[in-house]
Amino acid sequence: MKHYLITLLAATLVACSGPQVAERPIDEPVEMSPEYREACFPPNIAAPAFQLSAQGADAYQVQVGLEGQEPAFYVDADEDGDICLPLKPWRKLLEQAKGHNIYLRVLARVAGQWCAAPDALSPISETPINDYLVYRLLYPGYELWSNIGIYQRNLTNYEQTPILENKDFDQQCINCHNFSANNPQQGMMIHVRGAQGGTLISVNGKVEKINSRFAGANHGATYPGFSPNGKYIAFSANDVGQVFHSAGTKPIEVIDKAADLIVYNVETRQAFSDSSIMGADYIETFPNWSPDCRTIFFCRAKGIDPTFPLDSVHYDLMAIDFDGARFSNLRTLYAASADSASVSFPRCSPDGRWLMFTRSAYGNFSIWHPEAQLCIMDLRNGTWREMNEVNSNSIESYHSWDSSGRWFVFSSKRLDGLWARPHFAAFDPATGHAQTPFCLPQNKADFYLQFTRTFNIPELIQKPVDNVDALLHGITSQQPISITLTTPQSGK
Amino acid sequence: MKNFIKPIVAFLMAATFMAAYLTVYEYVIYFHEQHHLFRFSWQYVCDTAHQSGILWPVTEFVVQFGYYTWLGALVWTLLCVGAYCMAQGAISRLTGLRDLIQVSAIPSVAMFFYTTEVDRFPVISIKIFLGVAAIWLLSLVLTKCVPALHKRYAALKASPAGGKWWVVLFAVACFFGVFYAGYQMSMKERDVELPSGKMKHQTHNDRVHQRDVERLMIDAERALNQRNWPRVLELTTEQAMTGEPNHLMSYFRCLALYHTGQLTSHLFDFPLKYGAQSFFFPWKAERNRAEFGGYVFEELGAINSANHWEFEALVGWGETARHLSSLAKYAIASGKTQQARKYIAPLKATLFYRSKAAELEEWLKNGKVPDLKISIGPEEVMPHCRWDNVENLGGDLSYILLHDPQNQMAREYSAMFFLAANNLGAFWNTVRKYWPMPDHGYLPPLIEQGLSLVKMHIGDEAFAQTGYRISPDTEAALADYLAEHGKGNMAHFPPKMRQTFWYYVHHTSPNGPELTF
Repeated sequence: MKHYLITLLAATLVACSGPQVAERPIDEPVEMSPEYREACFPPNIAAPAFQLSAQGADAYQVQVGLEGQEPAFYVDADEDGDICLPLKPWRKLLEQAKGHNIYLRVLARVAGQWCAAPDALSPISETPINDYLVYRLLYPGYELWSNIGIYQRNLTNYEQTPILENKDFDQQCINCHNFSANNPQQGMMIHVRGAQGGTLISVNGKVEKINSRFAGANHGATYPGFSPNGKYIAFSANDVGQVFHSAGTKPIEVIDKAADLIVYNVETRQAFSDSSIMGADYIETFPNWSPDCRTIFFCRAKGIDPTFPLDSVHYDLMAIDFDGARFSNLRTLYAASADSASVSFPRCSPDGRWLMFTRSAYGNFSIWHPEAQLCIMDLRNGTWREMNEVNSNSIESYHSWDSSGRWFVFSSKRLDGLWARPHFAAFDPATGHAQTPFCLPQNKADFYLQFTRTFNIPELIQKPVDNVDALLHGITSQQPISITLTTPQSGK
Repeated sequence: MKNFIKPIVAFLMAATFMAAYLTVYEYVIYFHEQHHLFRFSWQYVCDTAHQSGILWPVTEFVVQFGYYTWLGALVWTLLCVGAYCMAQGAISRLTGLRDLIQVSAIPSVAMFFYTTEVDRFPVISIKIFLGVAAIWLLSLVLTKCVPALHKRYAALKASPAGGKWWVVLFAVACFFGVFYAGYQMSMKERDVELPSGKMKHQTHNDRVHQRDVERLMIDAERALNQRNWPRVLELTTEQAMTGEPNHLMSYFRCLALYHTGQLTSHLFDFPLKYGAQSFFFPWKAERNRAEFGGYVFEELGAINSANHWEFEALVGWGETARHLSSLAKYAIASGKTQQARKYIAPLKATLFYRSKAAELEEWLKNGKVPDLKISIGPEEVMPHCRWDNVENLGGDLSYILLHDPQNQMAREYSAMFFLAANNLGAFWNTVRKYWPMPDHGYLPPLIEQGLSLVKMHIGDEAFAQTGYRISPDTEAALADYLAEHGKGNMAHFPPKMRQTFWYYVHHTSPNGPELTF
């Protein structure tokens, strides 16, 4: 209600005040939170809202327009410096500005004079981003949980709808949602932990629940990678633990005491592994597929025992070939351990050329590592670099591509250091470079200040999940199907 | 005279409920207020309604007035009495009869008793109130629209008022009858689920007892939050005297003993049934433990651990004022400005915690939290990361002392913890590192009692070489104790002997009589 009143008030003020003309440049920088200036936007994204603040300023106005032209529209801030850009003129402007730049001109009134910050130019991509973002919302806690839900957000507006909320099934935990080729109709999976636990797999709208603990596996299925052809899910089966930092800036370390890789065929309900990716000698985790489904990328560290210092566990970036039945050609793509670094979340681009991953000092749960940064590898020549154009001095961690490979979303804690927020960036598949990212737009300027849940596992999808009732029915009514792991050469 | 029945019963009802709320059930009002936080935010109302139903935020709105327990009591009393008046009106309008037997008191009495349990959030009371209000509104409409009802009601209004005092007395007796029946129903036998998930059958007496224990624990926690340590000690002593094991109260008692300067002299005054775990809560992923486990770490100045426990409590119990305030404090002390702002923001949208938010913002501006001890700060990282031992406080106490050897609480806790754990070797190490022998006088009594056993272990000569001395009083007390102990089954230990570490080791330690050295 407050928001509508503010909008109404802002609209009234706009009608009364008109566009301001800057009398001089501003002396002090105007802070924008979240920062949207110079970000590259897709043409179908909803209008952002943000808070402005500058020393000595008592009023703000934002003017938005095509580069070199008069403002298409402008908005006056409310008394708190809150700006909500209106959706309709924003969308109209983006449509006109495809392939061009728009400007966000910020004016602040200081000592009765309107002052302008330098125009910030934002490129508007010609390629739209996938319309929907799926994420899990929960408190950024450790072992306890309360209300957890997986939601889909329409990126072209602000509509968020639940896919599954644990209030509908006795507060059990749900996690690790994953899709086949950004297409929930082709393939989608979610783990449920608790009395009605299991792994929900939805293929072509048909939902079945399998037992996450495969007979013959050492641990339950954990981190998934749904193959782009919708036929397989690669799982890492992890023995996960948590430890808490007594000192320092990191609160927690989530560790794997052991982990193996397993591939599950959703058509034949067969699960198989190989001695090269299973066994106590190494810990394998975070599988991801190449677009042709012939290679699985994953992270691997040396096996640990209880005496091993946990801040010395380093994961290398690995790949192994898979022909539908056998694994071969295990290889190291980046020996991060040699750099005393660690890799997590390898994600191959839809064109198969680029591999994005997170690099941190140690371990694999980079969402709690302030030093964690996104990196990109060119799979044609194996070179990699830190993506400084999108990284911040806070945490960058989980990431996923959109179906075109020209956009990606990643979790960043840059706003406050604790709550992960989805950020989007345009990507040029020809050069491997990204543009300035932006935070998921909301229709309230102080949304990210007030909202105390974290956005977990942001995944872009082309169409919304449309079988939510079947998913809930799968949890509450289906008995999990037992799956037996067949291991040609069992390592454990 | 009949016209006065309603106000008389309403007055008696208000007096009864108000008295009960301010005495027997005062702790319930406090408890609910502390575990919910209503915010004047449309987003909050929508989210809460989506998650828990529309009546949940409405109930939280009412519960917020419990910030001042008298105000909370008053609001609930007014709602109950309001429901009674509306029910009276509805019955008169719909039946054309006066409710002499006080059927209309039933919803109010039910409302009242649904607000008297800590493990039941009083949504049902609000539901009853709104239900009665809806029926009353319906009765207003129906008496206007249905001629038969209108006629009967008009006749009732026109009927002469009687003047029989016994009618009033009868109505009052009926109300108290309804109240008594409500009490009996609220305390009837039932099966309750324990935190372990098991079911337990509770009799009426069990429920009365549970209420008394709950009240004691909540009062102790309230005193602890007010840092009224003598009161915490008083309440925990009251509980200890019952002889029933209560982990929370033992934990509070240790804190109170330290803060009143009695930890190293009176720890074993009552049997320490939880042994070393009286000093902390081992982590068991339970929200009840999460709520309290952080206290000891905040007092010790281990901010990371306090923050860890507090955030788990927030996850388990939601964004309550206490958890938000504590997390904001830790964030400010750790230099995490943006996080502190986020914890403060919900407090600013409340009716009663705005001043707290303003105080926190002031601290945020200064970057310091008054009276918050920091023994292990966010900047202190060893060559290798150091992990909390969530199962055993001893290691954490040693780590705190490594960083802050002058931390008096850690010194006392460490020595007493190892005694309570029957770990004489670790106790001896702690004493040698952090309890130097004073030039004059002696160490505190329980330290001496531990040292007397150390002396027996390492021998008089070796002990003398360490420079530690034991007072003649303690030596004599040990001799007396050992003489009594030597009588075996015939031994009779006077209270003073039962309050020693020696007696603890031989008779009440959960670890048995064996000592580790």
